[in-house]
Amino acid sequence: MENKIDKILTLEDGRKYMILNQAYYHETSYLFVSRLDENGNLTNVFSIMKDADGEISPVTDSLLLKAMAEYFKNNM
Amino acid sequence: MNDEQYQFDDLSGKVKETGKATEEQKDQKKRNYSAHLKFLTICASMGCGTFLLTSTVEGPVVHASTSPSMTEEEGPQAQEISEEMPTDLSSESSSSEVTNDSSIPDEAVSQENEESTISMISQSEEPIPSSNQSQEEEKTEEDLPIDDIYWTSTEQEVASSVPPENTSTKVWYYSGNSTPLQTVGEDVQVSTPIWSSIEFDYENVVGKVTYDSLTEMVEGVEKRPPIYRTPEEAVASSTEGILSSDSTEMLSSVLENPILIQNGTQRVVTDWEEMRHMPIEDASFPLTVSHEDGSSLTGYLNGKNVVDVLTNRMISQVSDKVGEDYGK
Repeated sequence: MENKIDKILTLEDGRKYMILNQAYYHETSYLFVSRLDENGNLTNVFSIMKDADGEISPVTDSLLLKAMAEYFKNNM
Repeated sequence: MNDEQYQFDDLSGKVKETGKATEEQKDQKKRNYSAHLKFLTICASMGCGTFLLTSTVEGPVVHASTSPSMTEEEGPQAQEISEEMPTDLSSESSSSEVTNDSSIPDEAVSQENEESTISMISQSEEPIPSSNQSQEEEKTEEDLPIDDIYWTSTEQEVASSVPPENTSTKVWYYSGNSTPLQTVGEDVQVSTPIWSSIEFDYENVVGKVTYDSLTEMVEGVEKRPPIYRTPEEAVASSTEGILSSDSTEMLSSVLENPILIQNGTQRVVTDWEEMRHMPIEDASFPLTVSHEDGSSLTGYLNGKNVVDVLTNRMISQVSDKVGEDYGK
């Protein structure tokens, strides 16, 4: 399992994110990320993403999202 | 005074490349710690969405939220989370593994989804640009000498079935209000308690109040007690002592409600009588100075210093009285 904390993700559409924290759940990687602006600076646009097979997608399950937020908050 | 918008990014995408963050970006991550914590705290209590926080000393908090759509098909369901540290991580930055075998009924998820769309009262709908924090805002505690650190108090409200967790600078309490009843089924209505918080932030420059002027506010104190930045610092420096009945009366006229820290949890004591039965080494006493321009500063006295100061003052008064009597 790769440690991606403090890595920068660049998506095909050009969006960039910095990975602030990472957790594994059921062998799936979840990322707490902050979007970067065009100058590479962190913004207040955040997401908790599921990272699978080179694709990231926001976690939308409400309970999982809250649990992940709580987990990341306690492990910052 | 301070408007902050936290937006939940609900876009998906394919990763083109992964690279290392620069040192500047790592520094920004450290400087933005408080923003990250705020976002996660709100997410953990209300669900993730876009939040607009307007913070003023006196005004109500603006807190608007929208939740992302709930369409994930096979996301794991979390009820109990246990963590294990994996073995392949570097020491500087570590990821953690969250494991869970329990499941949550679909109905619970559905119910949660409905409740997470609650929007709090908003003073302004005007969006605040998300941000790169200015260099001035990014000044840290280390950048400023203690007397130049100005404090703001921030109020916030959150609707949640359970109170959000207290932090070292933020205390949550029941506001006495709940959200309007919502019908969620036949003959079933729910209402969610609203929790208020008060948070002290000493990283924002808002006025011209200093620790010196705060210390001057301790009326009748001949020997200045030290002022601490947080209740934890005050309590950590305290030793055992006892508050007398006279002392509590005197204190209640000068100081704000004490904060007790027991087993790591903060609690505001609103009944001063209660203080007579509490160990003074667990108590800190907030002192706030407010100025006409709306700025304010809060610091904390520890219990032992307060007892010492009061004792000294009383001894001094007795000495003066005895001196006057003998002088006749």
